[in-house]
Amino acid sequence: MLMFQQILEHGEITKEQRDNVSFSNHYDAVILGGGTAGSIAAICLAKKGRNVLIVEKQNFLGGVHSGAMFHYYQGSPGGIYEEYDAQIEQQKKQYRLPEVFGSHPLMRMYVYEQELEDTNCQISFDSALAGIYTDGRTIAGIQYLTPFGLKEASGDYFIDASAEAVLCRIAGSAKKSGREFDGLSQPFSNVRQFFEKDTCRITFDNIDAGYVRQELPEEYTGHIIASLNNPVYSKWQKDQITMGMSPLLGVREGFTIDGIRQLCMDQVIQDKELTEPLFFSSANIDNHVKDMAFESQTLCDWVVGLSMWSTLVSVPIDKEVMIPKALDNVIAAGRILSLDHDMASHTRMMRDCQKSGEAAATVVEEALCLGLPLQDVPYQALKEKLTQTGCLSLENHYVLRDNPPPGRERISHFDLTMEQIRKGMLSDSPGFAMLAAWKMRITESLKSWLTEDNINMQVNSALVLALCEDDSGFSVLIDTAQRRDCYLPQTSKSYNSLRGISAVYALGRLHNAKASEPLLRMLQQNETLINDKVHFDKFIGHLQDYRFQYVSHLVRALLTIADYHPDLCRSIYQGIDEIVMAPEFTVSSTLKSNPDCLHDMTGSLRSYIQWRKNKGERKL
Amino acid sequence: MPRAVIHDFPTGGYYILEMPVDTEMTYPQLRKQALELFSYTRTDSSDLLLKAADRICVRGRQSSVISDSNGFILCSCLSEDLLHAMERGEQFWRDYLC
Repeated sequence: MLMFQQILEHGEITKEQRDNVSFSNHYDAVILGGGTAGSIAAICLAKKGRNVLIVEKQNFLGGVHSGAMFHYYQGSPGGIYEEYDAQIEQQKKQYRLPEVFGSHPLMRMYVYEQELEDTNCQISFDSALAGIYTDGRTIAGIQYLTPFGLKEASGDYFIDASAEAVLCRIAGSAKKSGREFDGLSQPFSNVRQFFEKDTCRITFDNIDAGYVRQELPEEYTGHIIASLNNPVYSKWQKDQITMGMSPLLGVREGFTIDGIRQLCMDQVIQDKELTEPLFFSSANIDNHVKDMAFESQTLCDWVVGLSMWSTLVSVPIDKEVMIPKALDNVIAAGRILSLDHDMASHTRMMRDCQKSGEAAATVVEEALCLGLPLQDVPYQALKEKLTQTGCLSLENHYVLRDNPPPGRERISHFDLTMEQIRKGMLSDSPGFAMLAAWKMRITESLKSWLTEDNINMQVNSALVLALCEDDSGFSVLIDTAQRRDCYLPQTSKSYNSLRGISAVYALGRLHNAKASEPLLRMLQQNETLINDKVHFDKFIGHLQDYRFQYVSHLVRALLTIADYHPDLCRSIYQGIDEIVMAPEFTVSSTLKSNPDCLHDMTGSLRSYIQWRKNKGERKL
Repeated sequence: MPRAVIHDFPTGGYYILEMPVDTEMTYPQLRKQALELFSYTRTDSSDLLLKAADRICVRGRQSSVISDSNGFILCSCLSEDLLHAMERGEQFWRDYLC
């Protein structure tokens, strides 16, 4: 057997041939990471009598669910995890533990440990993966560092539930997730745990506190310490007793596996159904950024064009999204599935991570029974087993679900007739009608609605036409942008896009040369934006957020026009540079839920401009 | 059998579970012990238990386990070293968190 040892050191993988490797311990399944997903996977396999090893960096099971956020936020119901949630609640009473907003973290650790106590599962706490042994398309074994020294173990199958795809990275089967422009992942949150006197319970709050590369230990630790000094913590309420900061940051995105197939937001929006789902993930598409202008067109269409930020989306997750394409005996669980950056902001909720743990364990169990590579495990058996536990349920596939602001009635169906689209476009919550109009490409009706004596109808029709790349509503959009229309639609619970900003974005989508002059004039007037009357919400929590939104979207729109009109490139670049590259020019923005802490965005904006210019030049 | 005592500090009291010096316990065993002892040694219904046994501190032959922030402390023996460490920790909590 020709075997290679692979080690990841300072971001580089080294590979050396090894002869006569022998392992002292062999496991049916080795699980990297006993966190939210890995602990459920381990319990599922161990309870089937399988011989399992968990390699866990912390000294407890459950990951963020035990160490930071105790309460669920979105994700779809059903699955084996609900059984353990019920046990946690039951046993909490027995031990006279205090009320917690969500599940008691210590009890979660304890229940998981009890479930594994009399099984063939070994847990190696305070341990980290050091290297792997590969044999062609399979991983034969791992080398891992423990408090008792370096150890080695072999396995039939491996589940990478490490939240950083550490196993797949060393195997060369993972990539850094992040947006195309600068590779930046979503912001992280830090979590404060406190006792709330009013409700007599332990709870937590979290604020976005910056960006971190979790795979770099010094940077990660540095951010935990630095985040304690965030000004938001000087405003702690008197009726709260702080118990401490979480030892884990709320990191939303890092590495993802290089899967057989990548799940992209484009497919999701176009309702491209998959035939073999293992479970459905459920959440809104929320990447927490305020520099939305630097994100993908697909995400901007959704959030800026349609104001669909809070709309819940159910997404089928199949085996191909969970299995690295270059490996036969590895499956991923948790937030490292094969997702594009946009979908990485969706498929990361704790319920869904737990379900992915169960799904991964079920695939491994079937593979162990049949002796097959993971990708060859037949779907029917998986479907039956996952349906039995509730992990897979068609009831969870609602496709889209309205998540309205307080006081607005929930819209229940989206398969709209022409009359319903028309009615929706006239309403304060036009997003779903606009989405339907966009998908159905009803451009003739939209054009006729442009002439109606109703501002909602005119602007919403013009926005949808722009998404269809039809410039019939061009003059409506120019007018909406120039008067900086401050109307805020109510499609989403929050994070709706001001109509003036949506119009600027839509003008970029149209890339009509005639828009370059008025948009450049608006950019020149950027200082006057701070005199506007602004309705603050979560997205625009500070006047500088408002200015940054306009400036960044104006720049994006202008650069898109330049991409399509080489004759205008020079004048547009010059116009932007005169303003944004001027030494006195600055822009800043806050992060979500942290409106008092301004971050300088000047450098990011300038880098974005340079990146777009380079990209435009390559295209030419 | 471990016994529980309460030590008061300026920002609150902490449970310390004293155990023989040579006690060797895994994290799951420590958590189990903490839960069981807390359930019958708790003196006040407002006492809170959120976490236990965050890290093991080893000082010579004396091994101890202390909580990093949340009030439940397990230790093998209540040494002067440990008390000083807790006092230093207390200062940290007061400065940054309280």
